Amino acid sequence: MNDLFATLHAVLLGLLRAVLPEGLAQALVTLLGIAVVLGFVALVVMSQIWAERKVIARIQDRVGPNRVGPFGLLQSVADALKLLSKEDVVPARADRLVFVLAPLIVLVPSLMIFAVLPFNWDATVANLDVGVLYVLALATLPTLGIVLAGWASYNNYSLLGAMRAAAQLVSYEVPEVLAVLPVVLLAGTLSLWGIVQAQSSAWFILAPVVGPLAFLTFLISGIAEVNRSPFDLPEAESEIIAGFHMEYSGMRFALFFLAEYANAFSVSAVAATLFFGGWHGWLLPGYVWFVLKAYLLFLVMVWARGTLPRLRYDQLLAFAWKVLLPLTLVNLVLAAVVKELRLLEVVPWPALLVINLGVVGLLAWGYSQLYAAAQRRAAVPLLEAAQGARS
Amino acid sequence: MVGLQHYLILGAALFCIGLYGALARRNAVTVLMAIELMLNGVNVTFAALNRYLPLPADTSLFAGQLFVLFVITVAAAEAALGLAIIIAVYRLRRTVQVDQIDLLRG
Amino acid sequence: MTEVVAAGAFYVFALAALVGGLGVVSARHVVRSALFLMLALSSVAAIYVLLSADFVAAVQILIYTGAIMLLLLFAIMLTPQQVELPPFASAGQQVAAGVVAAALLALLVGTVLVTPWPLAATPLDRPTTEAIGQAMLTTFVFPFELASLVLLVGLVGALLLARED
Repeated sequence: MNDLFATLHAVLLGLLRAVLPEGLAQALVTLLGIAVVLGFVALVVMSQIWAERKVIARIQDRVGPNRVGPFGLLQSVADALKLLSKEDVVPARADRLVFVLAPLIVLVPSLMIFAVLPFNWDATVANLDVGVLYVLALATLPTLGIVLAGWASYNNYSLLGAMRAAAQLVSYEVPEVLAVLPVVLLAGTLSLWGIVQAQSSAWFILAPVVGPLAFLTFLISGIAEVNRSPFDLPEAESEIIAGFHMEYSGMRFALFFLAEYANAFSVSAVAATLFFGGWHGWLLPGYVWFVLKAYLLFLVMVWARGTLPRLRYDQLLAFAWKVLLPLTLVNLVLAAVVKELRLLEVVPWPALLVINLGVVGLLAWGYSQLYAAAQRRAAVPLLEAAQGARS
Repeated sequence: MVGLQHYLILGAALFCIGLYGALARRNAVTVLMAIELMLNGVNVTFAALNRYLPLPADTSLFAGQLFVLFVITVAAAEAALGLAIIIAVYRLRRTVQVDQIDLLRG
Repeated sequence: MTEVVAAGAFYVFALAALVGGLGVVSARHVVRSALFLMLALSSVAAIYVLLSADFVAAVQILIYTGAIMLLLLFAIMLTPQQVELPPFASAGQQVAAGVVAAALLALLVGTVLVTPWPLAATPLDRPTTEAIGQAMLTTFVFPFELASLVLLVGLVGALLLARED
């Protein structure tokens, strides 16, 4: 079962070699792989939309979609059909070329990221030597599409939303890149397949202090990069009337929607690859584990959306530059220490797990003590005022 | 099939197109974009020479690509500064047409 | 077979880069120029991939298409022109520029075609990232540190120049 893709590849290649020249056979098999990955992405996005609506509904003490199909499973299909049947509206004074191209500039890089993800030891569309850099580079491109979309709509609120989105996305790119560097340092390679291979003994999240910190900063920056709550100020319905995609309706809006969910899944998948060992797991085949891990991380994102309030614009930027950036820089130094002491190779992973839980528990306890002390300090003037009012 | 000369001609073409743009456009931002094109033409030349010429004995194998990286870095700094200057000038004169920013002309 | 594909890919991306370049210098509206520049820069990244410079290609997309393009777009949006002025210089200047560019192109292409290039036996196709990193910290450490200084100065300078004082 674990060799499914290798055997499929060999069988197909053998079949095609009989009828076509070598180069053409290889090209056709690669194209088939790309088609499989894109089909998978489409399926996953539809399931993501359903899962998000159901989970958010339960968090908000309601049921969520339950009319279309069993448990509302066909809701995504119904939404897609509705969006497809809408009128194609382009604002009268909008620059038509830019208006049409902007959703594509947002969507295409998001889909291109899936080409380097290692679904299994034998199931990567393109095993690039610079896989991590490729993913990070593609993550910077949707910003351009968003800014162009806001500008092309010929609408003050769209432009404002787009500018705020650009400032947010650019600010969170720096911690995102720096958060990935400790992983690259520990693995010794930029190739995503190589990084998963390097985790065969211990997942990188188990690296003492460095692992959880890098994972947290990457996840937070990733959530900010895909414009999800609590960082969804640029597109929040209650804020600036849906911001940069306000003038987009029908299929064009569907492209933005698709891009956002594909982006969210790709961030989860990259986090699963970098920190949770990609395809490594017991019993089940590698690709099942990979999709499971990525999906669980996506559910963490949904959980964050349902529970955390939205960050205000200045809080957003201050958090990126004053909190995340110093943390990632410190993390890089710590990662160098961990690499030099060869902790991941020498210490067995259950011991690393215990150490990490201990460190995290200690930090959580310390933070709760600080919080309680701050509460007590804030309550003193109130107590004094109450006593003064009584006497 | 496709050899060094093809890449060098591409680099030269990009450089000359950028040169024309830098000389013939009025908007300062467009002039900057043309300059970026010129830098890209030069970078393509560096990368192509790095691939096709014999290995150097006394420096890194990838000296050409290192040059490209440094050019990209300096181009980023230069674009930032140039655009800051353009924005500052716009605030003062409400225009970015290069032939209207001529206070220093004698 | 791979030779044919590589050659075909080169022609496709070279054409895209040239179309992008021509679009930058001839589009009427500055945002269209920016779009064409995006096309040109991405095509140049693809050319780097064809030249086995994978690290440089990723950096090109990350910095040029990702960051510098955003800077340019912001500058375009912060400097809207009040009156619709002609985007091109006077006809005489355009002709002169065209002549200069064409002459330079002729000179460069002539030089490229005439020179007996000392080609290596096989083109350099080795993994680049680690070697580039090593070189940056040994042979090229001085330019590396200077480049970071240049970026710092650029950062502070741009901040100072663009402030609303």
